Amino acid sequence: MNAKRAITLPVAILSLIAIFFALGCSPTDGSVDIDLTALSGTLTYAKVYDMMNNPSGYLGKTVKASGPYVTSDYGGGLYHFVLVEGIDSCCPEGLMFIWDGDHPYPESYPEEMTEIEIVGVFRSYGGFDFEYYYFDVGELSVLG
Amino acid sequence: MTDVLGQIGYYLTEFTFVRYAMVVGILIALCSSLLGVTLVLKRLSFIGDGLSHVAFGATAIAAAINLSGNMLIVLPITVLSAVLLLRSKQGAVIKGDAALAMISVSSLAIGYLIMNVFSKSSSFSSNLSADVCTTLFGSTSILTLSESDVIVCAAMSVAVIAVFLFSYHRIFSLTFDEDFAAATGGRVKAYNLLLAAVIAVVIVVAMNLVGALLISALVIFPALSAMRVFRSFKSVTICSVAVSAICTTVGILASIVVGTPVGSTIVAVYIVGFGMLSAAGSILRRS
Repeated sequence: MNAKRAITLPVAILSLIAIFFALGCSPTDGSVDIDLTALSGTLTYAKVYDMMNNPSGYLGKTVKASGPYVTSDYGGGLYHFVLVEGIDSCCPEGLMFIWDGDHPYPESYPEEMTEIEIVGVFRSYGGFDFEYYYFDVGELSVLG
Repeated sequence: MTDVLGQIGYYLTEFTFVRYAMVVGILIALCSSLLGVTLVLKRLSFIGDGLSHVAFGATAIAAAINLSGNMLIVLPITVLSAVLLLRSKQGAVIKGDAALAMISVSSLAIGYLIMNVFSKSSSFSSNLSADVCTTLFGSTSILTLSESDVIVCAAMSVAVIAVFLFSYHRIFSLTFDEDFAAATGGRVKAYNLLLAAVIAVVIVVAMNLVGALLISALVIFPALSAMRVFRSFKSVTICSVAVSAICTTVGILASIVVGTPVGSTIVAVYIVGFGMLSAAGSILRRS
């Protein structure tokens, strides 16, 4: 390999890397810290996994998510979730949320499996035997 | 195009787990491609498949007994299986390929059986299909590594690369003429044992990248792709490493941008790489 090629190749690779980082753009609209709706299914699954397993870096952050709305009974209470689809269609993750304000169930909530979008703050809750994480939702909209 | 580059730049700078995936993925690709040349030339291409099935079975056992660090069970069982399979010689009751097939299917079946029987155990998530899917096909496992996983994978990969670099000449002679290597005083048995252990380590680590069923691709494709263009052992090895690193990088990035399973996307990129190098080899031979 001659000297010119030996220099050109690493310079080309470093330039490409610089372009990646220079063009790095946040796929959020500024008011949201983490926009799961802008990520691919693979990245969404990995991001939610990271949030649940390493929550300390995410507590207090505003998150936007969308997916089917579902509910679940547990310990005498009714809990609300948005299902975030991952990949393989076998691994949806349920993100629990509490909708701020006066929103009585079932009048204010859509039917189950309706596509919704939530924007909420990621918080922790120690009400069960284990630490649980949920979204303190300010906005909930039904998607067409 | 600039949007995609920008997205990738953002993911690499903002998402720690993407950086972990890239580092570990490339290291695993380097290890498997280094070993792949030897395994392909020794006609042991499918040993990766067999050992990965053993590792899958061992993973199921570790999860069923609630062992937090499953490496304690998976690695020794896989190393032992590699040693037994590579020692299978003439006069053995069950010949090499039959022994490999038997161990392979048995491990896969028993592993899945254990996962189903003990599915209520706390080590398994409530979605068994997702667990099995991720373990077999590496859908997202490379993107869900913890910091300790990264350190362990990186350490094992660096150790494998170091073994290969320091034992390059011995591995070269073992690959092409084992009898000659023994006749000239080489410690063939010891190096074969070392090779078996290294293969097992690479398989266990590589399961994080592409899952148990697709591991053979990491071993076979880089070596075969390089052999379309180059002839010498050294050139094939270097080209194999380059192909592997590039295809793994492109595969991981493509899967996170497009939203496809990581393992199968990487293998798809390897197939494209093989096609391109085959075409390049044909053109070079004609000229």
